[in-house]
Amino acid sequence: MKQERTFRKLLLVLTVSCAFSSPLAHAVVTDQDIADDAKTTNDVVSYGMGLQGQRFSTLDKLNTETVKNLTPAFVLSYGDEKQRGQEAQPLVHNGKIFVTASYSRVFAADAKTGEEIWQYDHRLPEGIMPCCDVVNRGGALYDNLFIFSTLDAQLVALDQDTGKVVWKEKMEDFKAGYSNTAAPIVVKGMVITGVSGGEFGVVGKVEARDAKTGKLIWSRPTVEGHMGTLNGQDNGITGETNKSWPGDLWKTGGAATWLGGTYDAETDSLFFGTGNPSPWNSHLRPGDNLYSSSVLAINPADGKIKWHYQWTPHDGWDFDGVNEFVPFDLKKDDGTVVKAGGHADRNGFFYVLDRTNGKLINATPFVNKITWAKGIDLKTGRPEYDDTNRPGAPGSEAKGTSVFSAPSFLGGKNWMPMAYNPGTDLFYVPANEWGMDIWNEPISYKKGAAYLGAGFTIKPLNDDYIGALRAMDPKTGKIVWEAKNKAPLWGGVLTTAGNLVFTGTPEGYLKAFDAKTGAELWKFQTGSGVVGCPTTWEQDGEQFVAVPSGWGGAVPLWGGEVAKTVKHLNQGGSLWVFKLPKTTS
Amino acid sequence: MKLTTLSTLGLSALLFAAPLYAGTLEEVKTKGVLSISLYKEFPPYSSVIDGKQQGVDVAIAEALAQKLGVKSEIRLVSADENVEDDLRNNVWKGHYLGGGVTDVMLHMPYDNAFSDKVDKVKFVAPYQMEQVTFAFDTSKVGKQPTLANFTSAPIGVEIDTLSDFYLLEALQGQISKNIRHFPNLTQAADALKKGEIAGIMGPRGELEGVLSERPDNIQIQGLITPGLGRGSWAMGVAVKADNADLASAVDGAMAELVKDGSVKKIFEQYKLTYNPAAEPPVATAQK
Repeated sequence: MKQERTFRKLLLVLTVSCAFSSPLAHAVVTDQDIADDAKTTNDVVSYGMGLQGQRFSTLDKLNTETVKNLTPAFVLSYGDEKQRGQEAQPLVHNGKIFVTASYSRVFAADAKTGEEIWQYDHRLPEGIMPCCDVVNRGGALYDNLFIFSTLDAQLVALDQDTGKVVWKEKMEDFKAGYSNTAAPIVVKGMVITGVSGGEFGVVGKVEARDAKTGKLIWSRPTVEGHMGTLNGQDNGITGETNKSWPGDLWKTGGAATWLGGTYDAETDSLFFGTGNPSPWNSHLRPGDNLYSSSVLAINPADGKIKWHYQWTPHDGWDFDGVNEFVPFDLKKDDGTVVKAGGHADRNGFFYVLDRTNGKLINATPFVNKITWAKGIDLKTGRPEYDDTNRPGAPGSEAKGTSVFSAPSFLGGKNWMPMAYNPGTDLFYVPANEWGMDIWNEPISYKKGAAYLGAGFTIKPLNDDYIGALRAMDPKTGKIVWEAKNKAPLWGGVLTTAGNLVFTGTPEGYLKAFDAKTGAELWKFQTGSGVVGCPTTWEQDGEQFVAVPSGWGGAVPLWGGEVAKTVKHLNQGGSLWVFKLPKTTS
Repeated sequence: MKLTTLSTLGLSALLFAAPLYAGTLEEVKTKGVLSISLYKEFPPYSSVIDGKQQGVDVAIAEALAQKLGVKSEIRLVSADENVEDDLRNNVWKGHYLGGGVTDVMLHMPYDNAFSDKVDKVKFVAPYQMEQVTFAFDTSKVGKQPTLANFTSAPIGVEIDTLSDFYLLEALQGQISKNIRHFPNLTQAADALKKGEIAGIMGPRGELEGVLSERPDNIQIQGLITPGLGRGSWAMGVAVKADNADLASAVDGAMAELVKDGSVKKIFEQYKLTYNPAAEPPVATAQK
């Protein structure tokens, strides 16, 4: 009792001293605020709820006991006829909630009442070429800015108070097929981004700009042979030219960094994943095709690559390696702690790497069926391929042999970010169980001309479910629990010190699970599919949870047989915010 | 990314006109307009030069509309990942970014095996046979080169095309190291004229178009291409499947334009070799 009183007094003192210090100092988001984001509970200033991207909140008012009392606080409609996928993670600062929406829109509202403060509609030019729906995954807060990327490959910084454009930078030429949907991150005053591009000829890169002006500081291409830059000067070639590519294919090698990245202050490294190599048929490009389908550890000071690990060398299944790499402390049974990182790849394996050097510690399946490799050799760090299950070479006129491959190219896990809970020491992975038939298609045409394409059909592996939220133990590589879902999971995950795991479903629910057992404790129907990322914070003594609702993304566009199971789902576009009322916490 | 890529048809129709929809023959006649999708930045078939839509397909589209007694409204669209996507975006469904569909689309394959796969549209009015061929620099590979010359001399292709994939595997991969990839054949043609490459492989019409002005040492000619299953294909017009009246009117009008030499004349105006699609394409592919 006495202790609690002292604590309250202390709090009062803190509150008063805050109130009397300069309000301006609190108005802007500083590097310190971003560095502390995972620890502070009154705001969410970065994508991933901290640059490591653990999506863990230390808040515990909302817990396995109280979650039944979680109730809607408000809903903000994005309005307009523009709907489609709402994949963003909201940010909260200074009593305002910021969220990006489909078609490169941004909304700012009062975080408590939901009253809209401003809305920004990016003017999209004719001829944009977005990949996989018109989504946006979120922004970054820095200083008085809200920074986000657009479908026409621009980076836009808005004033947090007014929504007016402060600066705008063209990241790439949208006419050449570039686009951007990922949330940027801000590290040491620099806004760090990747690029996405659908068209052939695109080469991935990671770039750092001055977050206050948008001015380019460094650029690091992700395919070997390409020159990086630092302050406008050449800064060394990525890798070694032509080492793992035939002919001039490295010039158009792909490896797009379309999902952004994470940052770890302890090792001072940025971690960015890369997409699959071009062209799509692996027989045309013998070699590892570095650094496609990999994770790169990059020095934020100069953009140089410290190490890399390639999830799928010589990819032949369209397994992008872009999924997030989440730094965490691997607590071993002998009491030692390893600076590690976790990653659930498209290819179906859950990897644990030493994040100081990229060495593989463990790799185990997080899905039930993997056909492309028998396993990952822990000594060499390379997959043990099953060559009979590699899609065949094009060229023959006859329809090639159809290969059934699992996971499908949409992956054991797609873009939707997992969460790590340091309390339970578990990763929570939004997984999907599906495979694909894939074959060479001699009777195909592109731009009116005969072409050698590939045909594919995505197929569910089970009658009763595709999605499965899975708790993975990074120490053992084993699945601890799972919660199945009929439709494929496509939304991000949040976990809290209250032993909760939140994620959404295409069927429209935001759900809360017991982090230790996977028992479903709470759900709420939002009216459209939830494919966004939930987040949580505390304001005036109450814990809030926010998640966008709006069905879309790649599944309805590319889902094959799967698309039939989600055909009935309605589109939407809104931000749902819930809270645990004071009286019930 | 490649399998999961969409490109768009652009928002121009949204911005500058009411969304288009495919009309029946009666509606087309009532409106007095036939709306037509053609590929953009696609010389010598369809592109904008000096602010004006120009090219063989533009001229054929205009002639087709005139034959039907209506005006033509041409929309230049981006090519998507494959023709099925183009048909979905422009003929039977419309792109999710908006803009609607047009009544017809030209430069579409006229191929029984392909049309069996695409039940949402009807392919009619074959008007041209296209085939892959070579352009080469005789000062580098002589006047009678073979494919083997390009095991030691650089050859250009447009990236992600039949020619690209064929050459990467041809002669047991011996050519692959000499392939130079270009975003389009216009740039490949520039490289050929500058002597940076010794040859180009690509569709004849496009090569003749981008090399319409060429020095004497650049020759366009077919070479023997071992292992290439199908080097030629017929082009026609795609119409939404449930629009039988319009499909048959377009088919009839085009047949007349081919028969009376109008189509041939258009090709000649652009200094291109014309091969009529008199015979239905040989369905060499197995179903």
